[in-house]
Amino acid sequence: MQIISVSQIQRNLHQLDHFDIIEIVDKKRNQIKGYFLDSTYKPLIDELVHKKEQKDSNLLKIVGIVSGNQEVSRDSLRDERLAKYE
Amino acid sequence: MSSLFLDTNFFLDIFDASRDRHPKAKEVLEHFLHNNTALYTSSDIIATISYFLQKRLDIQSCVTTIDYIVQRVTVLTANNQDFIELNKNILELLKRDATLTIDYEDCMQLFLAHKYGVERLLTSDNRFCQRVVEEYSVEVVGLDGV
Repeated sequence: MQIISVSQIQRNLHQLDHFDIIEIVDKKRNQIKGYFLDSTYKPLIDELVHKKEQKDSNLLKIVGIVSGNQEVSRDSLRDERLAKYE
Repeated sequence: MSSLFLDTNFFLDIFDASRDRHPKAKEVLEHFLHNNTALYTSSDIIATISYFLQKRLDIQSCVTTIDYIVQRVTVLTANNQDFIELNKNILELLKRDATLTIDYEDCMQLFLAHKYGVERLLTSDNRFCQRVVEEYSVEVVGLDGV
């Protein structure tokens, strides 16, 4: 896989025309900024985005699944769990 | 991408619609999902909330709920070396200030968040790792501080 820096892209955007997958790095901070994928990968990206949206949507399903536990706290749960072993 | 570690109380506030902090917790969760925030928690916290859920839901619903969480929230676990390092840190802190109140479990959550480069830790506990937090790179925030 080819690796190019943010400044290289800024200097010449056409560099993105010659590769299908590129790792884009921030050389100053020594960080991977992300990946550039050619548009031929769109079906794969769509699938990835769909999976991610599904995970977000599933996480929201945990909202309000129980009721009437206003007094429960992390500490009270710890005590309750420990009491099992008494 | 910003990152956030979720404490037990946040999950309790999210689960239970009758809790005072539920509306705010829901708003905060939606905000983080919308902003593509990387979410983290620990295996200890998953164990605690599964205990809470199992007391209130059937096992099927409990498993489904935990499944929904771990699909999106990365679960961090401490290894032997982490405990050794944490113990060393705590003893060092106590050497400097013997009056320091330490909650070992909280310190481990903070340690894990720090180790994995998580930027912020969300808790509704105002006393969470007081003074210890200064030793780590993680910012501890409450629901109103998000």
